Amino acid sequence: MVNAIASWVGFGYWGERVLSMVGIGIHWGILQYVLGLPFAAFVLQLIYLRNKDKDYLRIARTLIKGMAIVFAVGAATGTLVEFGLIVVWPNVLTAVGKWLYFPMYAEVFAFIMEAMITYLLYYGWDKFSDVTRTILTFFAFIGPWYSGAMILSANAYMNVPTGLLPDYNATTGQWLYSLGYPKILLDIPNAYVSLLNVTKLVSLGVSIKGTTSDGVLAYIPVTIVNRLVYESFNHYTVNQSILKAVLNDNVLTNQAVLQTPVLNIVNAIMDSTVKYYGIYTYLFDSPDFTPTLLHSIGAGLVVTGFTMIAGFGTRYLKVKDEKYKKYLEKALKFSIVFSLIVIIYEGLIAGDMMGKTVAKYNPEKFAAIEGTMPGFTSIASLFHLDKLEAFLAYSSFSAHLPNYSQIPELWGQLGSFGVGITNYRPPLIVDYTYYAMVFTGVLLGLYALILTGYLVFRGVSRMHKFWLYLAIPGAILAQFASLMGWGTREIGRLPWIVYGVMTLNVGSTLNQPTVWEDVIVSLFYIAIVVGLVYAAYRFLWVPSKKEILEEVK
Amino acid sequence: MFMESVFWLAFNFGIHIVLVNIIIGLAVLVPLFKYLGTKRNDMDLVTLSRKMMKWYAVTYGVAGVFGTAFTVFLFSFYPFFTDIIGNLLLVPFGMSIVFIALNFFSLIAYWYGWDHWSSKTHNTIGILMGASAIMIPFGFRQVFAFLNEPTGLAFSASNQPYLNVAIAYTNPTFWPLYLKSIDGALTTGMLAAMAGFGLLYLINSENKKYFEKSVNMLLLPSFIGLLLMIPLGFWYLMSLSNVPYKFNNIMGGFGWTIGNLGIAYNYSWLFALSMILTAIQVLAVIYIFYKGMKGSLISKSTAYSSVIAGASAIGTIESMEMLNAFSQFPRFIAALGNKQIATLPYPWNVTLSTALNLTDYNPLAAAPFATFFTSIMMAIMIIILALFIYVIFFKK
Repeated sequence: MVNAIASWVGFGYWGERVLSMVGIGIHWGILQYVLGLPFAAFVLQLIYLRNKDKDYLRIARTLIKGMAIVFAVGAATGTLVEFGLIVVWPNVLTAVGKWLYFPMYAEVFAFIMEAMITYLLYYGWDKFSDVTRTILTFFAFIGPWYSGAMILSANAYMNVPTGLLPDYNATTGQWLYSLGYPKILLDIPNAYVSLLNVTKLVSLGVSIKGTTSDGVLAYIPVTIVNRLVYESFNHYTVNQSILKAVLNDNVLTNQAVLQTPVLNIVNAIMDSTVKYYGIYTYLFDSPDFTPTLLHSIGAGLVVTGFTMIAGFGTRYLKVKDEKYKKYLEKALKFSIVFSLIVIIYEGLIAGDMMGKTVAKYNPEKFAAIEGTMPGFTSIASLFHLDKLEAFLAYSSFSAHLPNYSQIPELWGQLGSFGVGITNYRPPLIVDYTYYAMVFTGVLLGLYALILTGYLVFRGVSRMHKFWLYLAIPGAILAQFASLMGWGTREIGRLPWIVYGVMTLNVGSTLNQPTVWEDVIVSLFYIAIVVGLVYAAYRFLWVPSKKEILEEVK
Repeated sequence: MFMESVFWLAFNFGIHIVLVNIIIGLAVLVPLFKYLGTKRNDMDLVTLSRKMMKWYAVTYGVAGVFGTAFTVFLFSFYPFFTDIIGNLLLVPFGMSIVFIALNFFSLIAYWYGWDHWSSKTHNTIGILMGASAIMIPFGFRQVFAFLNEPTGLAFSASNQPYLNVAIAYTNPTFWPLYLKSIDGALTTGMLAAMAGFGLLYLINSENKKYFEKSVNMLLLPSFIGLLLMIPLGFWYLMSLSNVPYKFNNIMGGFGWTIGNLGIAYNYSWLFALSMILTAIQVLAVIYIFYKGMKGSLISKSTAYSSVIAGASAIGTIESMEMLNAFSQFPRFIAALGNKQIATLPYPWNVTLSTALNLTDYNPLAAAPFATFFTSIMMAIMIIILALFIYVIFFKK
């Protein structure tokens, strides 16, 4: 019997992982609304511009109020996450800052755009004309989307580094490890090429793609890349490095070369590679970028949509005032149609793109998601979904799902040159997290469909209360589905921080936090969030009943 | 020699640190005034507090933006330095992170819950807001003290560097720096608040009562704060005598040097500027006192004086912080020059020789389009910021 949790736990570094899970998890939950609320407010204002029904403008304003509150919390938690990454995963941030900095740069300005425009709208709502306000709201949602795109470009690279050649052939069902795959395209500067023995490199699986003006483009097996990155951050010199084995004979006695830090060489190769792709576009060239962006924004829209249904729906259940009810009916109608559209988009378009990308470029993760391991009860096999999954992933019923049991435990390691990782297979727990997301998404889709059916055939006023009572669990489930999707993405990459490049131990801090530090910080975060939710309920939700009533009257 | 890496760091840090000082001051003053106003049944004081709370919230948002920008510039231009401080300074950074979070969430609870909490609960949250603001520099100033001299830096048996936190807090530059910062922040907060209400009064005389209230409440404490800056500043300066490189760059221009290092970069003019700005503050405050004794405490001239005092306080913070940062150029850790780094165990003697040098920046981050992009976006950002302030505070 395979223990899915044990394999997840076994990767260690729990101190850092718990801090990241709590910190980023909270930020992730909050930013769903930052992605969704201003977009919904923008659509509402377009409706208002067309039909001049002021209720739609009021609904938009309510959403912007919500945005102002969650944005503040999102910005604060985002800043804390950034600081947290610096102290908990400093080597990762170093690599990001050195080679992947441009989107982070660009994100700063996105962040500023979000902050300024959100509060311009919040504080100055009545000070602008309808058209100006609508334009500002357009930028209020473009800001978070642009910001999300920049951050997600780095996350996409962490899943699929630019220039990655994957290691699985779905037509034959064969893993390609023996041929040196997966490989990453790197530009090796001529200064280093002249030192290297090409015959030895080729025997290790390196294949030459071509030349650039100042270097040679080569597909390097990730086993080599992984080891070199490990050596770089552990301050190896060439004399201590695997590089010594691939040097030309005439260099073996050159002390200047032998005493060179491996970091300097990796640095030069990465600088050259980044320049080859383009300093400003390197991350965006990751095949994972577009699907990740579309899928993440979709998740934000779905969570927002179902939360709007919950908010307006529960209010509708308790309100007696007829005028207020009419206002809420419009809000509910909008929320339901919005939710149905975005969940269809999320499942059938963005989700499909994401799934195909994972299957192609992260086959180990895909194998874990499908749980193709004897002795493991996978959800796909339980529901006989294997063929359907193969079709969805590879557009062919005859394609083979990757076999998890055939993945060598040390597939990421270069022969006997380990980097401190004893198992490169991703944890099978992602089978459960992934299908939890899928089933929850399907349930939410059905729920939105039923509510839409009511709208079309009976109207909101004749909707059975039972369905509106389900709105709160619906909103919680939308958050749950989003969290499970994110969890699958991040957990399924283990033990890699950057797939094929940097492992968990290499990215971690030298001075790991103690258990009590972890516990205190985590409890502190959780307590703050609980306090915040209570404060939002007590001081924003409760009094807003009165405010909206007065506004409608 | 113009270094854009240093320029952008100084630009963002310069804006961030001024706003942070105002924030710390307001975080203490707002709940204090609210408490006193309620206790004395002085509604003008409560209103004053609420107005200051709005300034606090807006300033906090803008400071956060520039703080984030600073961090991004730091790890883009100096990734290996960020790596080192990230690895070493987990505890001081962690402390600041925790207090930033606490401060932020207490700000939200205090602001949005103004008329909703019971008075006792609201005051308790206010205490939390003020205390957490004062504690944020307890971590960050430790980082700055470490950048003066790396007290507490040790190496394990396996040659890994770590920070002995208890020893780190015995850093001779920490306590004077921290206490001076808190005093500076409270004083600047008070003077800036008086200046703000003075400005509002000059724009519209209906705001006279708020200006009067702010002067009555803040004039004497801000004067005491200014006087306290003298011994605290001198204490900090003396503590830097352990770091001759930095000390000489600050005082060398006046002929006061330590050891035989000489002056690498003469920043005495910045020190002189700071002293002049401090003197202007003192004179402006004394003038208001004088006018008060003459029976015209609240007048256009005292309002102008308060604006001058507030602007000078902000200028002093800016010049002092720039002096503190630039006087150790190009060293990230002032006490560690190449000679000292060479004595560290391998491989740190090699790694740190480049990572701790400000002239050794990431060339990718300084690429032409990045510079162009940053300049354009920063200009747009400042325009939006100006528009933001106009709409929120002035647009009808």
